Amino acid sequence: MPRESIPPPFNLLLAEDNLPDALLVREAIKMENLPLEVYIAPDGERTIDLIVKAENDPDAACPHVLLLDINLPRIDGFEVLRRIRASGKFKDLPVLMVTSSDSPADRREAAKLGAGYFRKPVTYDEFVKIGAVLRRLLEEYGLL
Amino acid sequence: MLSLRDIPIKQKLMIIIMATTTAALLLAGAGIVASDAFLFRSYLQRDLSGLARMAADNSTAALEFDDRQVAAETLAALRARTHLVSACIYKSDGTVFAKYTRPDARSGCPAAEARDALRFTSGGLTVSRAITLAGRRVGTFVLLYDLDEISERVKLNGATVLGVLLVSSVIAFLLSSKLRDVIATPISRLVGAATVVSETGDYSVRAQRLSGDELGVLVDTFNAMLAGIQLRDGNLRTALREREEALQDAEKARERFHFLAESMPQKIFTATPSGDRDYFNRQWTEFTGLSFEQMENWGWTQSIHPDDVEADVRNWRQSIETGEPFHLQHRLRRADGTYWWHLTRAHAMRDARGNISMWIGSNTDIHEQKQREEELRRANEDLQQFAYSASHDLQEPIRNVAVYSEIVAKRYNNLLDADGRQFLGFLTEGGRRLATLIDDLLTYARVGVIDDQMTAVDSSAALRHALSSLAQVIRESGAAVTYDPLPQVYMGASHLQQVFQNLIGNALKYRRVDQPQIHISAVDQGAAWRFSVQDNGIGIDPQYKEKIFGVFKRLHRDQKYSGTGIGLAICQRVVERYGGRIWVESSPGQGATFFFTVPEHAPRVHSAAV
Repeated sequence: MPRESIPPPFNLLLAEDNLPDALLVREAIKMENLPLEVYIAPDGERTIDLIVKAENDPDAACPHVLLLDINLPRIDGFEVLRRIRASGKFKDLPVLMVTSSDSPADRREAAKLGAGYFRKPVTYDEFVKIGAVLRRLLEEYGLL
Repeated sequence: MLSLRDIPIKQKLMIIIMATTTAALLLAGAGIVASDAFLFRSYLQRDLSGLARMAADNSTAALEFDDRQVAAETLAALRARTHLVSACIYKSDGTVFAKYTRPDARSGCPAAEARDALRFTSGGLTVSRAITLAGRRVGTFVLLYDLDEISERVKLNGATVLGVLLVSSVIAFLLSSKLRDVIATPISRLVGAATVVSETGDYSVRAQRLSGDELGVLVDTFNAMLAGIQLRDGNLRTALREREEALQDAEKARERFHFLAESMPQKIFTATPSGDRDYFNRQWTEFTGLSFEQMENWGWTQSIHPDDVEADVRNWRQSIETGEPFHLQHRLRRADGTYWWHLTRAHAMRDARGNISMWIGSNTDIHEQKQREEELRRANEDLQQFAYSASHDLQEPIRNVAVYSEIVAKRYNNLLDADGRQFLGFLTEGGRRLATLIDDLLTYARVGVIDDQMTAVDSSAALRHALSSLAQVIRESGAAVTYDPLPQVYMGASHLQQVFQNLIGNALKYRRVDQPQIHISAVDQGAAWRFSVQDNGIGIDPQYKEKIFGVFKRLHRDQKYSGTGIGLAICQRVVERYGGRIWVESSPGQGATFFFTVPEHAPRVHSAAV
């Protein structure tokens, strides 16, 4: 993906089935002033559909970063990530796992699949720090 | 019949002496007889030659004068010679002029010879002599002399020789009977001693030395040889006795081993140093339904579960190469075809030089234990799964409550009265507490599953990680945390970190002074390391020192000491999961010291399959 040629805003695909969390993520992005257009996929299947569509249809919105919950309906987050990593076009897509899980096994799996990890906190102030985490990720990938 | 070689030396000596003596005497006697006969014959020739010359000379006149009377008288004078058979005088014309014959003579005159002659014939010795007168031959004198005298002499001499021989033999026999003992007796004694030794095996027997000659030397050598043999025999007997005793001991040990092995409830086997299995007890054959012949050497592998065979053979070969004990959990096929979990252990038995003499192994039925472990593992997995779901599924709504009540309180602050703000505060705080409780419960549940590799971990690294997690609290409390050098232990790094984190977290939470002091150290107790976390905090009343390890057990309702009451329960669960124990020593106002132990060695059991 030739990053330099892509002008902002970038497309962020948020795979999240819990609307309150999705709204918090959106708020955090707004607070951090990130040039991101947020698309929400409510389950794993829908996430993969969007990715596949982006791969095949030049007119479809192309995700530049993916925020992925682990415990998604239909297809779980790790399975989604594995399929993306195995695909051609989006195998290097920046991905941040955003989850309630604090399991070391989940953290290991995320690292193995080349994804960042953000555990959803129970306070507002902590939660909106995801904006800063996302900024660092975008910077790391040269998008900002 | 005995040949000369095989007869006793005594007789041999006798025969040699007698044969030598007889041969010498016979030879000497024969020589004497022959020589005498020869000399006598020569003498007879000279004597008769002279007699013939004298008779011829005396007959000259009688022939000249043709006086037969005188000639007869001359011949008659020869009568005295008894061996003269006949004597005749021939005239020159060849006619008999006078003659004398012995009355028993069977023939007449012997023929006259033309020249003087002496001739031995079958009848005897014939002497012919010319009778001359003034160089003219006037007649011939002839006589015949029998040789009986010679044969008489020979006979006489022969008899003498035989007599001498006989007497000599008797004397030789008597002398040799005495003299042969000089040689034969020492030899007989030597033989006697040798016979006694050979028949009784008594090497203390000695031959008596009777002479200073070669036989004496022989006896000495023989005795020295016996002494040598006696010494070696003694050593050999001692060695044999020791060997016999060792064999008996070994046999007893073998019997004991077999009795023990056969009466054990476990399956027992032995193997050669090269790993060929050479014994299986009754429990083996009964369990597998296979005969010893089917199982010996490597045949036993057919009773191992196909999925376990590879690991089994690999580990077994490795043990044989290295001499290290063999430990493996694997499944053995019973005679009915079902597979049963066993724990197989084998150890190398070594001799005095440290070489492996054999392998002894046992197979213990751990099927039930394995099943229970499996059930436990499933139960743990279920709990884990439950905890995971609880964590995620419960966290989400609670987080919504906590975060959104906070948002409402912030954004709609001016729309709420004091009660409304307080109630929203309860909602937020209640949600957060519930989220923390769920987290702690999840942690507690996870302790049941050891997902870290059981390798030696550096406990000081685990402590540093724990301190780094607590960095903010430590900073805020102004605490001084110190620690001694800490050992390597066999415990999951994250679990050890959790224990340190909870204990130090408690020490920080229940502080008494503004500058809390916390010290961590470890003491080697041989089988285990004893860690301690010491603080100078508020301390614990001894009556609660057991209770505090229970789940949700809290001593303080006070907001100052917030918590879920699971921290110490998690510590206890972790420590006990690794075979250690945890306890506290404290009194109120005096600070508290928490102790926990960690075994020094990891369990050494490999499993063929999971």
